[in-house]
Amino acid sequence: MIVPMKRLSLVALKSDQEAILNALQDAGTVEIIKLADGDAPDGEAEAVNARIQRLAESISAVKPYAKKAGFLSPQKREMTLSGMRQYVPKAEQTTGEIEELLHEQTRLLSEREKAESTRAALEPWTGLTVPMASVKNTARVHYFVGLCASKDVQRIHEQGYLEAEFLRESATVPTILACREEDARVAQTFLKTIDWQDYVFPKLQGTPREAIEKLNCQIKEIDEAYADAQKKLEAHGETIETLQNALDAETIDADRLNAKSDLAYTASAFVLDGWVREDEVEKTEKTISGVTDAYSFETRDPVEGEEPPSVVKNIKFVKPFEEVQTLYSRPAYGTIDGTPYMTPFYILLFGLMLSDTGYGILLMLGSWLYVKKKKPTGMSAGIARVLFWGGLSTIVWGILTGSFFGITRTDTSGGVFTAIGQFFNRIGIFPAWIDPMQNSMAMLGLCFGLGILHITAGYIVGAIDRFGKGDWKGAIFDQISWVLITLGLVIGFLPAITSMAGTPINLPGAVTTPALIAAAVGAAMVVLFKGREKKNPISRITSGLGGLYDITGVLSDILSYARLFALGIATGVIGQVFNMLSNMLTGSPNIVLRIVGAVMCIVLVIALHTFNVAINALGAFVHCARLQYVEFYGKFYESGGKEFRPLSYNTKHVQVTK
Amino acid sequence: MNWGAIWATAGAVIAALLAGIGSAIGVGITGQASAGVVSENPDLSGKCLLLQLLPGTQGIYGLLIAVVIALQSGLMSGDVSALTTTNGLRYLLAGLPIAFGGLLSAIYQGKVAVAGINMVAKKPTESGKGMVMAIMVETYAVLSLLISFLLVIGIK
Repeated sequence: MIVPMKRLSLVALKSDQEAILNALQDAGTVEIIKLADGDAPDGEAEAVNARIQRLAESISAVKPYAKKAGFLSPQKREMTLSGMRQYVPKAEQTTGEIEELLHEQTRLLSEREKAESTRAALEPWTGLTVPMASVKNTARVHYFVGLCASKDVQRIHEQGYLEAEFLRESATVPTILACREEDARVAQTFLKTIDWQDYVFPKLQGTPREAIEKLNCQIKEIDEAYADAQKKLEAHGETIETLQNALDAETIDADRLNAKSDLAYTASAFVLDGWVREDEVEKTEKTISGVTDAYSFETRDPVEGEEPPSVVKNIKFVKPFEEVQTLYSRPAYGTIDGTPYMTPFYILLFGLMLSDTGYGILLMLGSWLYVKKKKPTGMSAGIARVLFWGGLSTIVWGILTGSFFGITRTDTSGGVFTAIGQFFNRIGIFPAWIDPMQNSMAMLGLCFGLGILHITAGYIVGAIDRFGKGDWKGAIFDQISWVLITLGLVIGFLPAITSMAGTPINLPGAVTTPALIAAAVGAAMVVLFKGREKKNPISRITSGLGGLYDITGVLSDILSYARLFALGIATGVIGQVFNMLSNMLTGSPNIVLRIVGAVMCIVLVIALHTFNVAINALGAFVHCARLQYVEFYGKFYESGGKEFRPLSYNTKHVQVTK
Repeated sequence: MNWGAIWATAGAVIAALLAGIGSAIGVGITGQASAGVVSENPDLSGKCLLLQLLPGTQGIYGLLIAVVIALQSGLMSGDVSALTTTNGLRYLLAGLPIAFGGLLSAIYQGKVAVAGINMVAKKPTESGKGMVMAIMVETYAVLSLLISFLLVIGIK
C-alpha cells in the first residue's frame, strides 16, 4: 500500500537548531522542503563540500592500490557516527599527502617531457665536436645555426662568402654557417630564399653529445623520483578505509549543513517544512521533544496542488519486489501500489521462464549466500531476494517440466547425462506434469492460460481500486467489461482453438454459450458506456466502437506470454547442448586421454552452465519485469511517484550503527 | 546427392550464422559504448555489462534452432538417408524466422542498449529502465525463436 504522507511544519529556537537537525537526521523520517529560495550555502557548508570533493578524488587515486574486498565480504562496514568522525583528521592529513604526491607526479611528468623534447631536438647535432656555447657571434664573425633541406646544400656551397659545416647527411641537414660580420645581412637574405630553419642551442654546457648524456641522466633521475612518488602513493592504498569512513562522515555533515539553507529564519527561531510518513509522525515528534520542549510541531494532510513523495509499505515477503516496481516507476501518490498483486505472478512467471531444477538450486543458493555474506542494502538487496524466490519457483517448474541442468527424460547427450536422463525416465515423475519438448502445444497453451489469468487479475485489481474510490462506473464499464470479454471469448472459443492445435478440449454448450453471451454483454458495455462523458449519442457510440478496438491490444497482450515458453525452451535446450559438448571430450578410446577428457568435461560443464544460468536469469528477470510493467500494470497502475528523500545517513561505505 | 540433408544443413547454418552475426554486431557496439562510459566511471562497469549482454541472446537462439534442426533431422547422428528433399527444405524455411529476426533484432537491440548505456552514464540509478527498453526489442527475437522452434519440431 502507499503510505499516507503528512505535511510537517516545525518551529523551534535557533539555539536548538543544531541538536534538532542532528536528531532528525538520526531518525531519518523527514524530507525537508526548501523554504528560503536560493540562499547560497554558508561558508561552513562550502568548506565541507570542498573537503568531500578532495576526499573523493583521493579515494579514486589510491583505489587501484587498495586491497580488493573479498567477493563475499559485506558491502558496508558497520560503525557508529562518532567512530566515523574519528577518522576525519587522519583522512585530512592523508588527503594532503596524496594530493602532494599527485602534484609531484604531474610536475615530474612535465619536466620529463621538457627534457625529452630538448634531447630530441639536440639529437641531429651530435656531430658538433665543440661546446655549443662556443658557437656564438663575435665582433667579426657571425654564425647561423639551423636545419637546411638537403636539396639546398649545393646552393650554400655556391655562396663564396659563407663558411659551412654540415653535421650529418639526412633530409634536413643540421648546418652551421659562418661569415664575416659585414656579410651577415646578405647571408640572412639568402637564407630566406632557401628551405632553412633557424635553431637555437639550448643553454647547456659542453658539446651536444655531452648535453644529451646529461639529459639522459636527468630523465633517469626524474623517472626514479616518479617511481618513488608512485611507491608512496601505492602505500597509501591501505588508507582507503580511513578515507572512505571520513568521506561518509563528511557527507552526513554536508547533508545536514545543506539542509540548513532550506529552512526559514526569524531573529531567534527557525521554520522547517517537510514531509513525514503518517506512521512516523509520532516518532518524529518524540525525536524533537527529546531535544527540547520549546517547539511547535504541526502536521496536516496534503492539499490540492501539492505533490507528496510516494512511499510504499508492504509485508516482509513482498518488500523485495518493491524494487522491481521502482525499476519501472513509483506509483503516483494516492493511487495504487502494484507490488503485492505483482509478487505472486512475478514468482510464478520467473520460474516458468527458467524451468530447470538445477538452475533453480544454483540461483537460490547464490542469492542466499549473497544476502547472507555481502549484507547488501537498497536495490541489490531487493533484487537478490527476488532472485531467491524466483529460484524456488524455478525448482518447482523444473520438476513440473522435467529439466535438471538441461538433462531431460529423453536425454541424448550421451555418457553420464543420458544415464541421469534414463534414471528420470525410470522414476517416472520427472517431468511431473508437461514435457515441453514432447508436448509443446500443451505448454504453449499453459503459457497463454497463465497470461489470461495475469491480465484478468490486472483488470480486477483496477476494478477493486475504482470501486474503493467510489468510481463504480469506471470499475464496471472500463475494467469488468474487459474481464467479461476476455474470459468469455477464451472459454467460448476454447474447443475451437484447441481442436486447431490438435488436442481438442470439449466444453459442453452449457458452458460455452453463457461465456459467449458474457463476452457480448461486455462488448455492449464498452460500446454504450466507453464514451459516457459525451453528450452527443453518435460520438458516444463512435467512441465506444473505438474502445472495442482495444480487443487487439488484449490479444497481443496474451500472445506476449509466448515468451514464457520460448525462454524456457532456450534455457533447457542450450543446457542440453552444453552437456553434449562436454560429453564429447570423454569419448577417447585411450585411457589417459579419457581421464584428461573427463576432468576437462567437468570443468567445462561447470563453466558453461554458470554462463547459461547467468544469461538466462538475466533474461528471465527482465522479460518477467516487462510482463508486469506492460501487460499487468497497463491495466491499473498509475506511474510517476516522487522518491521520498528524508534527511538521513546517506552513506556509501559505512553502515551507521547506534 | 542427398538434397534433403543439404537443405537441412543450410537451415541450421543460416539460423546460427545470421543470428550470430546480429548478436556479434549488437554486443560489439554496446561494448564500445560501455568502454567509453567505464573509462569515465569504472564503478558503472557492472550495469554496462548487463546492458551489453542483452543483444547476445539472439546468437544463442540461433544456435538453439541450429542444434534442434541438426538433432531432429539426423545431421547430428549422421543418419540422413531417410531425409527427403521436402523435409530438408522445410528445415531451411523453419530456420529463416530466427535467422532474420535474430539478425535484425540483435542489431537494433544493440542500438537501444547503447542509448541505455549513455543513459546509465548520466543517471546510474536508471539502468533498469534502459534494460526494459532493450528487452522490448528482444520480444521479436523471442517470437521468431518460438515459430522457428515449433516449425522444426513439427517436422516428423
